[in-house]
Amino acid sequence: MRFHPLGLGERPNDIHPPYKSTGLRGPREPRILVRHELVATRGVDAPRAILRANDSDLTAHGSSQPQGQAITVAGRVLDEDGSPVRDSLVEVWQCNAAGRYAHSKDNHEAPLDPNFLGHGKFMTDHDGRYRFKTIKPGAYPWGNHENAWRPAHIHFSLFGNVYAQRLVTQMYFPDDPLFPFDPIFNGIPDGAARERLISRFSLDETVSGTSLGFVFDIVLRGRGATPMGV
Amino acid sequence: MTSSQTIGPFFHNALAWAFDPGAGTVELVGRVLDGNDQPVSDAMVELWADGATGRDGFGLLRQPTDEAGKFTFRLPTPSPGAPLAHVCVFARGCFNQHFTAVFPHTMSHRLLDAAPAARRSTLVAIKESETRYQWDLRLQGPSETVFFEYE
Ligand SMILES: [Fe+2]
Repeated sequence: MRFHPLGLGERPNDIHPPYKSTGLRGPREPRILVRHELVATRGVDAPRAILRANDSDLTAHGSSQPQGQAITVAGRVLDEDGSPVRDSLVEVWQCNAAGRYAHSKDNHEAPLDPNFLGHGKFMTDHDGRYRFKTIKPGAYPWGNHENAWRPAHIHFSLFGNVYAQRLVTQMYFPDDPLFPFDPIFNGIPDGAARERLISRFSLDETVSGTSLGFVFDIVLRGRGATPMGV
Repeated sequence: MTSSQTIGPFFHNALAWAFDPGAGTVELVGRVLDGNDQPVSDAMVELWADGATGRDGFGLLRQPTDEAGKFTFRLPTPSPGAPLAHVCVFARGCFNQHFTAVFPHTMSHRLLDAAPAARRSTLVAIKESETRYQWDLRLQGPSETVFFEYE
């Protein structure tokens, strides 16, 4: 497997003054280029036994349906060649429909939802596909600057097939009016790269009478993976 | 490629299923620190070391930092010529993950050799006893930890 440098503008700068906490947490020294085999010696091969019932249905964690708009999120995880990243673990987390995380450090005064924990995990299939059920998260305020609000988003954590492909990112929803004001979304210099974090509405993934569908495809670093079964 | 975004401060419940410090006999303790040497209390450290299997055979060890920015792992005894662990750190205020490694002592190793000589010591733990190593990970500052990028 080979890793090419990230495209210009695809990687956020480690220090991005509009996102204040990058000021003291962003490294200033350049990264040292090394062969990925030196570091990512281990493939990530999460056994399916780690998956629990309803890990991919975030609407099924309480005694009844959570508040909010039921949605399905689906997509494919691919590498730079467009080849599927198979049997690969994905973790997701999000706030509830009111914009509150079920987390002890979330002080936002929006209500908790006893029927929504807001996290799940699943594996991609042989074609790199994944699908999970949840509710559309709300926007929430944060302390970065006066009247700061995060656009609605779902956090994604991906492992790929070797650890060098590791990616933590956020999926956004189409046409969010908060995009121009969010220093995290806008920390990605390239506009087209920002657009790639926005899911698209999909009538195909919309379930009649039940839930709206959104599609979010993810491309991990790395090309030239050895095809499995060859 | 899909761009990285910060892990944010609210990952714990989602990622806790794999929180596991390991069960080896070598303790690795340390802190994640910011550019003012202040503890980063909402970071997540993932590492992998030969012989550490992780929760349910996951393959990785993973721990959040505590209020003092501290993490503790229990690793297998490293093989001669090998690092204690390969490490990746995530935190609120970090747009990107940061890959690094921690060695039990100075040695000839291609990762260590790739680091600028003046900064190499940031990858070497302090040996406190035969079974305990101390290593701070600095995101920024005069002793900023060396971070790697793959090709
Ligand atoms: Fe968030």
